[in-house]
Amino acid sequence: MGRIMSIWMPRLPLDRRKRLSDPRLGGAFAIVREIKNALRLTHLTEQAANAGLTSGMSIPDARAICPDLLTEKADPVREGALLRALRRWADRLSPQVALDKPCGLFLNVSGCAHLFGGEEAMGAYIIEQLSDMQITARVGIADTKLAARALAQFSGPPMSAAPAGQTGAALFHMPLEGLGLPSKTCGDLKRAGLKTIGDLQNRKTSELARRFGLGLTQSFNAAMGYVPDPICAQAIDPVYAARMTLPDPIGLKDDLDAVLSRLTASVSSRLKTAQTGARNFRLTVRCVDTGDHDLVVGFARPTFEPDAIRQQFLHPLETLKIEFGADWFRLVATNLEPLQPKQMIMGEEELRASEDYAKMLSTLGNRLGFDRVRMFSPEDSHVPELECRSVEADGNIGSDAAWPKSSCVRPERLFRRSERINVLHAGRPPQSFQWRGHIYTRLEEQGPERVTPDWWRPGDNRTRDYWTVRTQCGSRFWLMTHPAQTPPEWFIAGQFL
Amino acid sequence: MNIMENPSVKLGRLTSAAAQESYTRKFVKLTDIVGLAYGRVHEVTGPSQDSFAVCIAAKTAGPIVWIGRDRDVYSLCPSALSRFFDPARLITIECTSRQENLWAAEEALRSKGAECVIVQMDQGPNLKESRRLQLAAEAGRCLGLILIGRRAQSSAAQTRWHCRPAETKEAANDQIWRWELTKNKSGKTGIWDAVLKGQQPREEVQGGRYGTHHVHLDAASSA
Repeated sequence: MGRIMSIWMPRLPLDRRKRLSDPRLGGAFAIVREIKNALRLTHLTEQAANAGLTSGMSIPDARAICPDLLTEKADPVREGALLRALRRWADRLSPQVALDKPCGLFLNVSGCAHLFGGEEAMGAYIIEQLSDMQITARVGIADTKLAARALAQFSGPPMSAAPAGQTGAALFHMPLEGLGLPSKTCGDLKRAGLKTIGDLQNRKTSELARRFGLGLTQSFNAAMGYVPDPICAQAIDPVYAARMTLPDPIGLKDDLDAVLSRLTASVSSRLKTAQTGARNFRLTVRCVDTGDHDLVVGFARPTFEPDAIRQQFLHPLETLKIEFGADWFRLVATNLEPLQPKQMIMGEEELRASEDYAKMLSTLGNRLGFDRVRMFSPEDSHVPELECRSVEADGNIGSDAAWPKSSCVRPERLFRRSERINVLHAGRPPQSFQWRGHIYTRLEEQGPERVTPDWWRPGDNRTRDYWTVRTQCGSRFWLMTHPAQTPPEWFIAGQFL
Repeated sequence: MNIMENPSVKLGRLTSAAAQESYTRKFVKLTDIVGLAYGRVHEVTGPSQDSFAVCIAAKTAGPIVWIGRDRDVYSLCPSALSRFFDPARLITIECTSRQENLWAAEEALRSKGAECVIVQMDQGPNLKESRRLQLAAEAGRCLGLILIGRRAQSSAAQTRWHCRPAETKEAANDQIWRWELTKNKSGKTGIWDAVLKGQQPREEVQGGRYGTHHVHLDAASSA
């Protein structure tokens, strides 16, 4: 198991003001944010806290207690930008860094700590570096993300580390808030007399889940390392996006089209320069009355063609209800992939055919969902229903590898669930049977083919015998039974052409 | 007639010649005198409609789009279809309603991306719906096949075929279907018996050689 470090910066909004050398920080000062229809304090300076203010108080209450209080509204966008800048700074510490919004970072420090002289020294180094940047930080190191964060938040010294494998002991006296639960669950747990994480360790998980929901047990298991909770570090990729702000809101189709074509031209020219294509494009339309609307289109093949992008956005834009107009647009390309040089060497006719093909898949996929536009891919299995898999269609015609030759007879229609038949005259296979309201009489048969399913897969693992049966009316069926079963049950597993 | 002398029409990706042909294509030839026109929509009814669709699709070269409900498209077995065409050419589109079915069919026919579009429906399209499909097929110059499960309505389709298995006593390895052309907008109607020769050889099973997962008959009877 890796070692995770949590850097917790509890005063990040205040520190941001301090870095801007805000003179108000010397006195009673607080950052406020609108919570539950009132402006409430979220972060306080020491003077404000000494005056008896607590976070969560509304401004009128706080002013009544401390008339000198100065406040500033929170700026989530700039605070987020500061946190992302710190993430980039933290890249020097570890290759895997993830954001822990709103004011923390997770680092995977397995194999990194010795470069800084051990975990303790590394933590001290980080705290020192951040304090040089006028940022107050606390550091916790443990085996899991949640445990590291709990240590950073709630242990006494600014730097604390739990020895490897002793997460449970380290968390024993930590309060329940360390699990990052919603406040309602925390309140319920406290009312039930459970105050520390150690209290949970002695309870049965099933009891906790029944009473407090699966969210609690999931966080608990993640904190203790019973279930994996990896760091999802996002690579800092170049962003291909363009935005447009208009002085007056627009809503006419032609105007929207003009905005869209300018945005696509800008994004696709940059994609083209980088020889990159995107599989998804997201257009954010900010309506003046209803806020942001995200329109997403996908492509079967990574693309940067401005016309193709515009074409796919036409339908979602038409269905979007813009009553009073929109004045802000942003187009961003996601799921970037390098373009295949394969396209360049194809002939003109082939290129046109393959472009038509990819365009068809994109059109169908954007309307129906790409999970419903599929193709078959061969699998290495002898079980009839596992011989192939249905996968989402990519934009390439055909496959390079030939389809594997099967030596066995398979019906062209293989039912996903075998259908039971009503045996009228017994036999092996039945002399006559009834299926879907028709009576069929056996004329000749071939078989059996015995198939032993993969025993390592869950599900029905009984051995099966398959028979090809031609009936008097000319239809041919694939009958299935389980051997050594009395009385034998018969199923139709498939139908031949 | 023996229409499927060589059933394995294998063209995984469009070769240059095939692509050129696909832009000048006119007919899928069944015999010297019968052919299915490209740029047209054809309807198929009857219990053996799959056989007709698969045999026609095998004679085309480009991608094949099969549109239908989930039970229609996901019950297709590629390892069996590989006898006719490369299953990598097959795109399955799952639709949840008749409207979606028709929309997807129209888009696929119009797009020029597919050469053969097979649509599976319970009830056949009516005059208006099939006229739209017809126009889309003309625009895309591709072949549309509508497999109708229940009842065909009067429609704008070029031809309508009724397919059922033919009753036969001999030639157990051959598959024989009776294809009946019941409607033809530009030509005569007629009945053909289609023979698919060369079922998979079964000698290896009956001769007693143990295949990978074949069981010899004696072993089976003792189980």
